[in-house]
Amino acid sequence: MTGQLRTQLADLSLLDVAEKVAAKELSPVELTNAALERIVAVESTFNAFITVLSETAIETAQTAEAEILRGDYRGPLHGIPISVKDLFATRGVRTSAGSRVLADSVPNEDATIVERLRDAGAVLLGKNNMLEFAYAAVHPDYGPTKNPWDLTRSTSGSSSGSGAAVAAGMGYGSIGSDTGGSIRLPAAFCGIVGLKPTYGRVSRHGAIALSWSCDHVGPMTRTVADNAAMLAVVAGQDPRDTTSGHVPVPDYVGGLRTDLTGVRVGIADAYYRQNVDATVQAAVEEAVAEMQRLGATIVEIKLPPPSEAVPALIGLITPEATEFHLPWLRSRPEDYSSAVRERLELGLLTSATSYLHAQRLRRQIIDQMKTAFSTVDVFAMPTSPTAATPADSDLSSSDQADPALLAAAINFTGPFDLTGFPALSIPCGFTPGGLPIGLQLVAAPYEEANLYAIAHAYEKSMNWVDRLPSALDAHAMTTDTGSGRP
Amino acid sequence: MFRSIGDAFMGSLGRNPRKGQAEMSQPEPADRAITPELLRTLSALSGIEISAERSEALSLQAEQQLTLMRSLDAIPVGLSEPAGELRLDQELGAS
Repeated sequence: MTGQLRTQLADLSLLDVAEKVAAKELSPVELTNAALERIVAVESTFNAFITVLSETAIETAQTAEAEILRGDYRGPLHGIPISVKDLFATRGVRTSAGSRVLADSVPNEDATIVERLRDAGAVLLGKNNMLEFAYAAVHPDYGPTKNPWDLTRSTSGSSSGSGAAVAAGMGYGSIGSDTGGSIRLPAAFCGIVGLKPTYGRVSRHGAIALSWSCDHVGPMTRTVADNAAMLAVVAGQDPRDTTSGHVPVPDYVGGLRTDLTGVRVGIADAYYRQNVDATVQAAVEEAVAEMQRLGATIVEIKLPPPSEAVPALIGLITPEATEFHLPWLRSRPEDYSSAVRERLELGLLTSATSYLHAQRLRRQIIDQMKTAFSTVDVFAMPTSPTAATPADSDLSSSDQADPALLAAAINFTGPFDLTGFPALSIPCGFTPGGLPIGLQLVAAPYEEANLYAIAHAYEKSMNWVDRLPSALDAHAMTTDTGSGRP
Repeated sequence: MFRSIGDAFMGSLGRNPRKGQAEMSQPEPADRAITPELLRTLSALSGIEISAERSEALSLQAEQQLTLMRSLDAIPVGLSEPAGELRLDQELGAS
């Protein structure tokens, strides 16, 4: 296992560098240069970006620097280099969704989350690589993203580039999307923090749809506090997204805590002990024990199992995805990767009655999970039954649709895309081979602040997030810790 | 340790993981509910053209998809009505 810690400027946490930027001890230009230098040093190894915006990033950083120097500080993302998955529309910048179908697509407006990040003064470094249309397979035109902890292992997906970029210090955060686990699985496999917020918490306007009723948009960062800071910027009602919720955005960072006195953590057998790799189970059990030492009470609960929730989710996703893609599927099917084309064609087989049955089951499972929250504050479970799987046998590298394998990959994450409840993946240890392991915490609707508070207390007690990914060890990186004033 | 996450999921369906996956990925031709011809016909109804060769290859995956949908249809839902548009903000404090 790597023994190196995150000490270089590009590897520090978003809020650590934001504090220095706010105090005028660190220039956004210096910060952006550090992130771009890291991209130059390692991107050819990891393939985490589809588009890098070096020139505009420096220009934005220069503008931010000038604003801060004259006292117009906008908040913790001002002057901070970040990236977004190439699923989100960016005005004047190609938005490919990782597909040949949109290889030349240049939107004329920003997605709401991009607009909000720009308004907060963030510096957009580029657009992250991803699985094609977020549908579980790599398009060969873009190629797979490599895992910064082990180049032979999968990053999972679909926000694969976001996960690797953040883990490898190519920016201080990214925005991903999650329909079956696409934020939380790459977060777990890459050893970072990923939040799938409540359905309706973050606008999806300008995000290319996979499944309207199951798509979520959320932040991916190196720490829980960083994640809270990013969510605070992108969350909130958006009239351009009809499913956007009318719920005030609380002070997520201000609500963080360091003890868990009075917190009730629920564990359910079907998500805790069944079909989980022994190493992963041991790490998650130890994490729950640590939460207990921090003051939490552990409560055994019963939840509707993945074997009910995952088929329901697939019963919703498959026809919704196929319906969205029908025009392209008719006119240019050869432009899809083999596996995504198959997956879209198979969506034609989900009957209207199965779709409605899935909707009825969704209602039932939401109600059952709400009942469980009458006795606990969060559910705890592994994010994935295993740590990162070998890349060459991973679902995303297959040229076939593999419906059963897709269902398997989202076993612990998919149920919360079905219910729309917020779920956070945080690092909770390493395998003997040095691969990160993810702990998933799930809260009741719009209780992201609770998730962050509990996760932050655990994170601070263990400091898993301080470790530098092993594959970065091979690179001679010369960026110093930086102290230049703007 | 599981060889793949697929093993974990198939295990959760209460079957031998390896045996379960083999059952889903390689159904005997006589057991298939969907034939290449039927697949082509269903696709054509939606305006999607699939060649004979392609529908032959896809029919194995189609069987897996239908197996999942059959398992979905078999889950009892009591008196639940369809969730429809998910508006969790309108349910706050109502449970």
